[in-house]
Amino acid sequence: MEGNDARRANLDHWEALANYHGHGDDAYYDLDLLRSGGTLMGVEELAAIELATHGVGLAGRFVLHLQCHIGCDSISLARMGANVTSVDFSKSALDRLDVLAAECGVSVTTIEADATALPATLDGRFDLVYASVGVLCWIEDIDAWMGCVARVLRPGGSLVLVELHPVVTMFESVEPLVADFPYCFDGPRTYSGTGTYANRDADIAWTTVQYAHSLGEVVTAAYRAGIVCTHLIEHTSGSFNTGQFDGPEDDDRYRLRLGVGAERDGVREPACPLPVLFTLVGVSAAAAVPPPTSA
Amino acid sequence: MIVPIGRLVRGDWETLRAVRLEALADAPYAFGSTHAEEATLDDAAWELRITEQAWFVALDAFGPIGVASGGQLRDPDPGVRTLRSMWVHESFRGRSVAEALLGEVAAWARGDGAVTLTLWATRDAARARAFYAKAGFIATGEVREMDPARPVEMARYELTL
Repeated sequence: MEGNDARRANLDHWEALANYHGHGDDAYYDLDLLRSGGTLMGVEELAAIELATHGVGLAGRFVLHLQCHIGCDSISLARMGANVTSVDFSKSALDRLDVLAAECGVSVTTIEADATALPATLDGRFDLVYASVGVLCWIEDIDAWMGCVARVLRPGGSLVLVELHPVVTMFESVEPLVADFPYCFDGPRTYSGTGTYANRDADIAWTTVQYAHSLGEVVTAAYRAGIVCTHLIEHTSGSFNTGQFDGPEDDDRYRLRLGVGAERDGVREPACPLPVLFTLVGVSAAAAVPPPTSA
Repeated sequence: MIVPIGRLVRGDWETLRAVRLEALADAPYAFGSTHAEEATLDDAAWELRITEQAWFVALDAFGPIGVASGGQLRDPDPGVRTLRSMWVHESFRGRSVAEALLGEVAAWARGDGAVTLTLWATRDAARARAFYAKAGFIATGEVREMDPARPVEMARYELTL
């Protein structure tokens, strides 16, 4: 599947997820915690915002939350004092966010749009663009995505992208070890299954089309779009199950360990962990680097 | 240029205070002054600094991430201006922000009739000294101590404008 058919399949899936998530049946979306003032942001996202704002914080700033789904992090961004605009291609997700924002007593502007086709009315308006976990695999044209980010940022504005590391997304499972997703871009890949990433047992059947983007492709796209990377951090542990693990380690963190480590004094050490997440923080350059002319 | 650079004008004392105190806290080894000394300065003292020197700041969307100034404070020679207070936030080092700030100060100095830009770099500011050498500054060989209370060796550099 490709093109409009792929988009339609993915939209159907995300509409279903928007209606399913956050009703107490999944591991990720604890909306009661959010309603009672807590945040569902991970330490990686909070640290990235700290880096992007060099400690100044988001009070009074204009923030665009891309591919916001039901908008849990939009609520947290608004609570940091930001004027938040949230974009998703799923109408149901934005409806959920509108209700959630009202319940949480914060104001969030919602816009239904593809992340690669943002309306021109958003151009140059934002101090920060925020996108978190599980966003890029739905995007075919990574240059278009970064181009949109660069367009909506004002000069000197920042991108905060916290994303699944392309190493971990290669693996469908660790036991048995199944590598079923390319590391680099390899065109559209169609997958079918049941459940959601937040509850594998959910009664949801799906067919989706996803796209791999290597770390190099992401950084290169940012550079081409005129976003200068100030931080690229690879995390070898995460606070949530990226889907491959039976459970967290003793410190409540999830790690991707393939094979085994060295044997020392008769004791077999665990394998050194591979990256599971990455953080990209970049600033929109005052004078963008011109994109290479396409052949 | 990675981020816009602007010159501070009267009324901008809060921006100057914020970036200067951040610089002093971040790199206490690099300046001829301390955070403790400058944290007590009042509004009028910061405003006076803006009028005494030409201050340039590099700004991203969240505020200043670099600063530099040019002035004629201790130079009796009318053809000489002094570059002072250069600082770039750690996240932005190696990104040509210092080059851009230096360019603004040099342009200001030329416009002010100077033919030479000079500076004093502390012994411990190794990265800064390497940057100045790369930017065309020549060490004059003059060395002095910062002041009797802070026996830190400083070396003078000069750039022909």
